[in-house]
Amino acid sequence: MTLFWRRHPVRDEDLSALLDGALDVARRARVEAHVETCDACRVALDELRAVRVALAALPRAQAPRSFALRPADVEAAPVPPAPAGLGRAPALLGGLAMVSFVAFFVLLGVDLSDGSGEPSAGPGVSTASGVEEQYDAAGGDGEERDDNAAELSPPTEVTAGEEPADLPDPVAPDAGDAAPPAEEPIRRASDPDDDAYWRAAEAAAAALGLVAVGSLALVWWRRRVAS
Amino acid sequence: MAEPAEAETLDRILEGDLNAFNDLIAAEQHRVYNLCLRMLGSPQAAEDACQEAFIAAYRNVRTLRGGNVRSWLMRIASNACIDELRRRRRRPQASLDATPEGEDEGTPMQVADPAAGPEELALRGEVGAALQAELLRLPDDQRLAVVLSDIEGLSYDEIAGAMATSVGTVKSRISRGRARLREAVRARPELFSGLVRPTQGGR
Repeated sequence: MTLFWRRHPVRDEDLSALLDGALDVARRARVEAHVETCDACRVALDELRAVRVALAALPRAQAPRSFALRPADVEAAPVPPAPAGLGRAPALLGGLAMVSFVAFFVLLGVDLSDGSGEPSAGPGVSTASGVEEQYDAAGGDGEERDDNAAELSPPTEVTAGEEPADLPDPVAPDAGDAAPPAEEPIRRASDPDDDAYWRAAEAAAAALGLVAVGSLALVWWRRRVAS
Repeated sequence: MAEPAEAETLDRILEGDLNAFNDLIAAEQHRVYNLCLRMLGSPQAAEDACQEAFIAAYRNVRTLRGGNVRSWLMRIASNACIDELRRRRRRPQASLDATPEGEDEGTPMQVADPAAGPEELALRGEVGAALQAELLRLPDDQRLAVVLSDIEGLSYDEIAGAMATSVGTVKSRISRGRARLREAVRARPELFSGLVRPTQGGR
């Protein structure tokens, strides 16, 4: 192949482009100089040219009828729908996804902090059953909780990432309810309350993660359908 | 080729003015029809694809904004042809029933052209039909590039616009398509002797 290349420093593509006058000046000079000295290339060029001429000489057909559109053709197909396509949905869903992601990590950050962070007003959303289970298993006294929380948070993320399929439509109210975590300053709660708070926070975080992933999935899906 | 008086007509077209759009169709329909005919090989399929393309063009007229009208129209027509080819591939036996091959390859070549030179006369019958048949054997993207370039006479830039790809890709598709056609022609010297001198060697 290398030897062949050395003897023919010109590719088929160059010959074809030469016919169309589509080579830049330097390349064109090189290709023309080579064709002068190379029988095989000259034959190839001639034959490619003949093919091109033959194609151009193929008889042209007349359109069998006028293709002018009647109003009836168009009424079935009004002008706006196709270009309108997705409308504003992707932007809204994208925004929802972004807000949810931010809130998700904020909550995660609260989870991972020293435990005296603000509680979330988010309702304990039931979608995060896996998280609660794990949390129950780890439930112990107050001193161990911080470590446990740190360990348990990653699974929260995994749970959120694995379940977009379970969420056919990201439920906007979820995000609405959970997104603005009320920032009530709260003294360190007693153990049972604290436990409940952590559960709520993690559940809210998981729900937000699900909403975020679900929104992105929906955007992606609608793009695909639309294209 | 008759270009519509763009500036003013274009505005009316973009507003969805059906009459203005029909003027555009009148100016371009032969070109679009011929593209479909060469791509699909059957007058009936070409007519359907052509109609489909113009309706799609009207529905998507907003995507025309700022572009080259011809590239835009050829792109929509190309898509209509590719769609039809995909449909055929999905149910091959049905399409064979619908369009017998004899009709497919024979009919488009019977067009009378009073100003034909001897070379074109030779191409009218068997040779032209054979060339069209070879064209139909090319991969879709190569056929489309070759048809747009060598039959419709579009520039590389216009073809790149119509195929939504780069000029480099267009160049390569045209080259590969022509090279295949050349091989096909060489393989049947008795038929294509007028086109290509029988020669030894070659690359």
